[in-house]
Amino acid sequence: MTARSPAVDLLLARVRAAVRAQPVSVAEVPAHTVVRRIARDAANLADLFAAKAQAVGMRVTRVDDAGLDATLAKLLEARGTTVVAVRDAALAARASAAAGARLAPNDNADLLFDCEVGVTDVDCAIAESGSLVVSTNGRIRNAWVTPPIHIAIVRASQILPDLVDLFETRPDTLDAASTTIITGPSKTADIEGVLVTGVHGPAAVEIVLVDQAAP
Amino acid sequence: MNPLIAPQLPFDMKPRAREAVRDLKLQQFVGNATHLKDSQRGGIFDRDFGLEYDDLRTVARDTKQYALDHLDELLERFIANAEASGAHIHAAATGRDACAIALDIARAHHATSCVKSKSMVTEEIGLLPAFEAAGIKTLETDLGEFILQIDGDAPSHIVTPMIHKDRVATAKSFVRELGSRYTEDPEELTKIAREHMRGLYRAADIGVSGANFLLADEGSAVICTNEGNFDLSVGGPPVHIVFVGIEKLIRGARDLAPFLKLLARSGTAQPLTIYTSFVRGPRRTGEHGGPKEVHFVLVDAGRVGVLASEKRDLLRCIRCGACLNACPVYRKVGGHSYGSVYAGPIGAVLTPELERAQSGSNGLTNYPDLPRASSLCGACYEACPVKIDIPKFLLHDRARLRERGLSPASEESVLRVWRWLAERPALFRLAVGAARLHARMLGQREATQDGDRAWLTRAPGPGAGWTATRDLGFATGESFREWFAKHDNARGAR
Repeated sequence: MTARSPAVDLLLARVRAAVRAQPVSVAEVPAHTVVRRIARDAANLADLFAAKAQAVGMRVTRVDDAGLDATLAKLLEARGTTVVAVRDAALAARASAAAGARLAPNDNADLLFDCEVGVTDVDCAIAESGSLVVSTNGRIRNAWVTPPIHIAIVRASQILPDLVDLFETRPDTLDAASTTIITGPSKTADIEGVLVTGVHGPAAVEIVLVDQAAP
Repeated sequence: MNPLIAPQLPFDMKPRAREAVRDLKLQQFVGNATHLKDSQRGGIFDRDFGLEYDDLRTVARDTKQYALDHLDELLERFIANAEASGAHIHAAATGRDACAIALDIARAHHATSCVKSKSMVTEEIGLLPAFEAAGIKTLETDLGEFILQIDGDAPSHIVTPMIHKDRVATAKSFVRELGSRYTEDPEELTKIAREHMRGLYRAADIGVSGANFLLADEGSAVICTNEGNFDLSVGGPPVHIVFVGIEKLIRGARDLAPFLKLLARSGTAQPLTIYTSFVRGPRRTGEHGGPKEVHFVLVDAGRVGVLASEKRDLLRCIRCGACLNACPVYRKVGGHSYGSVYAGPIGAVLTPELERAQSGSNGLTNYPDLPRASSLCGACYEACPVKIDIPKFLLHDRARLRERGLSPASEESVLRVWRWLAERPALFRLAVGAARLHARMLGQREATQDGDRAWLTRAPGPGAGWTATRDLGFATGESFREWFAKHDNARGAR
């Protein structure tokens, strides 16, 4: 850490004076129960999560533990020849072998550009928006954004009802150097408002939702 | 800097606005896109928050206002926490300072290439021209900004920067600048841009971005994108610089949810942007990928002055672009007519204010048209997720224009005549009657479901200025005075 520049202290002093130049109009941050509206009455979080994830353009395959290996292998077979996987390494190795894909080492960020698929677990997921939360806690950065396909393994027990719950109950996710909330495949509508997916990040996000209660 | 967003001052809006309303393509693109986004915004809030939408906006308004009212405390906390995570903190009083800080960092790393993710504040401070002048090849990675960059154009909307441009212009510039084959298909054009940039991410020496929020508790920055370009810009190069206006601070993640829920819904009718990314310092020991150095450049550039003024509320703006989409004037004149990085209703009030705070002038002398670039219909206020009362501030600026003798003479004389008439009821009635008769004789008329519609395409005398760019509508049927006389039962017939 370098020494703080005097400009920073100068800015602080000027902001202090500026704040005092006007009366305080809001002395307390309001409580925000209204923010929770979407998931407030959800009966089944896994159902809500799956519906919302599909609504933003991600595909969801629901399996139980026993079906996980086969489902992952099938998704890989259709998609990739070079795969990078983070955590659950044994699972990814089994599935890649079954699919005839090559498993790249997951300790070299440069290699991500040569991978067709990134397989990751998640820190947690959010039902109301269908979002995935991934951080660099034990994962190579950008394995979920650099390859053109992202396969995310989500366990039903990891689903939080609301974005608010992420910030209130899982502050550990934000302790990482980098955390990303993903809500759909990479997209743009910059050219005449036409929706195109796969701009810089993946064009396809496949979610494998593992739930013991699944059929 | 590009004169489209940094024009010679004082800025005369009228020639650009005139040109824009005659540009049929621009009318079509901007009109369609803004109407669509505006109605989608209404739809998603209705679906997800119903009648509680207004409560959500109130929460966001007060949470951000609290942050501004306590910005000194939050700033101190942010600096301490970001430094504890290993980030470097810099402060820039002016845009020039901000560029100088970035150039120092770049020189220390012998940087010659930079990947940049979309950021309004870097447009404001002119980072790209400063880097290019210093020989640092800089790539705009947001698709829209990239197309504008290779075409020497400038953004005209906060969220959809190339709203004024079409696929044909894009196709031509790709052939010319990238040597690609000619295609007008947005999907193929996007693919060409993707392939062009992927190698550049890996090779770049520096990554640059803005930030949507700063979290004081965590010492983190939050960046919202749909394309994923920020994550790639920060993931590859060894150094990352975040440029951020000090007004982006909030207490922390505990206060973030309302803003994230409002931002993407207000801007593009999405529940959240595709990527909501948090940066908390450089890569940690044992981690693979990510910058070894993270720098935050805290930018003032007039914000401290606005904070101290009675227009503090303006700093609540989260740059969602909803007021641009809702504004009948923006829809017609487009973003470049505002002669500033910030267009539309929020730009009309923020631009003179930032200018005032930075130059020590009154701000309006250099932008005399902006306070009048509004019909005061209030659509911007209705659309604003943090409830900034833009019409109130526009009126305030109009009053200041008048005090300083900056109102046009024609406006003054029209108002003087109106006042003189309004104080003389009999004459007023006569004048209104004459005007209605005149309009009835010369105007055009059309029957609609809601009654007759009537308008003049060319008004005489002082009205000619009005009808040069728009029709002058007038009331049909009976006047209010006639109606009132019939229905004023309480006082009996007179």
